[in-house]
Amino acid sequence: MDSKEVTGLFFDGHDSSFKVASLRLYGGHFELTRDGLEPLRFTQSSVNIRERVGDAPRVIEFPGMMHFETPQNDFVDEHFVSNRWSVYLLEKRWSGAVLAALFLVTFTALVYFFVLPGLELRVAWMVPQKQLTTLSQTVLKYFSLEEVQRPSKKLAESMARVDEAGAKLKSLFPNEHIEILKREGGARFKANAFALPDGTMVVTNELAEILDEPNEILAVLLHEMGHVMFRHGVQQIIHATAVSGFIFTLTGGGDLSSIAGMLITQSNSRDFERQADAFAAKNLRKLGLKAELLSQALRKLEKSAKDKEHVPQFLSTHPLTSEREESLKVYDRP
Amino acid sequence: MNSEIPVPPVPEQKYPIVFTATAGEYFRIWIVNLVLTVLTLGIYSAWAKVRSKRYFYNHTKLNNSNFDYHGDPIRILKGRLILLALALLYYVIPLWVPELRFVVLSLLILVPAIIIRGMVFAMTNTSYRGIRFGFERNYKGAYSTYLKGLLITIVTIGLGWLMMPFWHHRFIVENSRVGRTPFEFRGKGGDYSRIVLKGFGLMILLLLVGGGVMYGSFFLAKTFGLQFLTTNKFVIAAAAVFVFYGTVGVVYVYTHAKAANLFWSVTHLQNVRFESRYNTIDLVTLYLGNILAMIFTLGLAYPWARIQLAKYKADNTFVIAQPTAFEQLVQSETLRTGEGAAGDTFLDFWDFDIGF
Repeated sequence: MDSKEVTGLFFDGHDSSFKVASLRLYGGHFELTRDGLEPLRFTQSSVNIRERVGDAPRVIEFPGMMHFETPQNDFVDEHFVSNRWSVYLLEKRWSGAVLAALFLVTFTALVYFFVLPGLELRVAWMVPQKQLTTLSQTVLKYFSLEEVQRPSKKLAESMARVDEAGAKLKSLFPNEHIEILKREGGARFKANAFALPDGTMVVTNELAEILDEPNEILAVLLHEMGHVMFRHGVQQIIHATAVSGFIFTLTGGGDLSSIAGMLITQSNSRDFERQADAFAAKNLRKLGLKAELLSQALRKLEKSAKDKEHVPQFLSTHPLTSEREESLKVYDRP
Repeated sequence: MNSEIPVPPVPEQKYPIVFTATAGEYFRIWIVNLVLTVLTLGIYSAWAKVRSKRYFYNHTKLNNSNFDYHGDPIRILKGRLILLALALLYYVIPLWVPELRFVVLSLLILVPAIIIRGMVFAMTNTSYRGIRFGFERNYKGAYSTYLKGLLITIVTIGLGWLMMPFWHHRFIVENSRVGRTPFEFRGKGGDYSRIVLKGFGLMILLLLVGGGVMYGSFFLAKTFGLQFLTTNKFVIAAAAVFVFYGTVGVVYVYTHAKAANLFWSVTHLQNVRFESRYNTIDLVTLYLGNILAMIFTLGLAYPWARIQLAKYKADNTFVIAQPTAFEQLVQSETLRTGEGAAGDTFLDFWDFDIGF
């Protein structure tokens, strides 16, 4: 029998006045004593002792919306609570918090680097072709690129190179939906080639003029085909959604989540570029061509970019050209 | 003729809101919450919410008594699952069946009802000295307020939007109560629309000033031979983003601070009055410090930031009342006849937490 008591405030649940009271656990009953009033008795099972949250005053709830409040948390834990396990035990010490933080960082890193990519790839493959078409058309409409129109001889030749490369690409992937659009890059896109998720590819006339070898254009198209085949575009959208969703859960929303999401999306695009390079190299080899063609195309694009003092978009999110050339060499080894 | 001896009124006093939580303690609660949430794939988040709400409410004191939170985690979880299901319905199903988007869109008609249910949950689960707050399930009022607001906005080609904060605050205050005592709203529409208009003016001013400073510094850079700065796309984009988001941020803080100050000054609870003194510059500095701290600690400063903000808000909010007012709140009848300690029976199935 424990007859130690704790002092606190008693609220009767009827109005907002309160009385100083003391509470003790006595033979399976809680007994509440107030000055000049009959003690109140409650069976142990009708009383709810709130879980401890930090050093906030402890609330003990009785039937009829009555409650008792005391700052003496340790006393309550020691004398009133039979089940000693509580989340509070984890929060109590800094060592627990530091351990939790370490765990969280490791866990997040593991999920981010090992689980998420595979998951994103799977989800990317679940998106139906019809949806990819809608998405691609929206993007295309947004950019509103002009069709190539200036009928000069030089332009006609470069366009013919694109057609030749396109025909080779289509013969290599007879079962895939491939559509090649020749567009004016203009001030915004300049020398550029990009693929949309449904297999639509845009090649600008500026790019076609710089790459005077049809197979160089083919190499660039194969690189873009890599993005399509691995569904990189869709994966990036899913990745951005997943990351901002995760940060949203951590912080409970706010503007920071979208900013962080944007920053993190940038980093994995480089892996996608390497994967697309490897895809292009392998397929060039299948055609009896060298992976060197892609390096050659990259060099030409980079050179023209330097002459005109701007970085074309095709290169801006890509790994360094020299680095890519190094890795492409591997594919040309006998 | 008055033969009674006039009783001198008990003088009013100004009671500050006192916030006693500490960043260190909240950090430990937050990080443990986070770990358990991650480990349970989000399910624990409902329990986590209750713990952190309790921590904040229990450390918020008025006249030496703290507030309390009574939310039931299961109900919070249920609310989250319902909202998640709606979001999935809206975003995922149209990927396969685009026509369904319009069906799902028609669920927007439920928004006023959802606002009511969320308010009922938030208010009923808040208490002061054991007396629960409350919110009327006033559907007629909600639909007439928000649909009328929408219609007037459409008819006046957007001008009616100036009145939306006024209508919204009025609806919230007039349907809130503590115990049996209803809150009263004495606001005027003009005061509200003036804040929105001033915010709009401030936005134009800041954009002009920001644009001017940007242009001026580019001009200076050019004269000092730093062309690489003025022709660099990233520098230009960064400067433009800074001016734009800086402006949006300041205007947001300004209108919200002014609206909060107005809100408290026009809200009454019988003889009890309220006052808040939020200051735009103080708040902008506070938010900026919070954002920087969070960036440099990769988010670990989040608990500290939340405590800073709550402390600022508490320090600048006051209750003006006679000392006896705090003893005279009476529990609502419907709650008293409810089934007691579980505290949950007076909420019905569709009252759930939507995160106010």
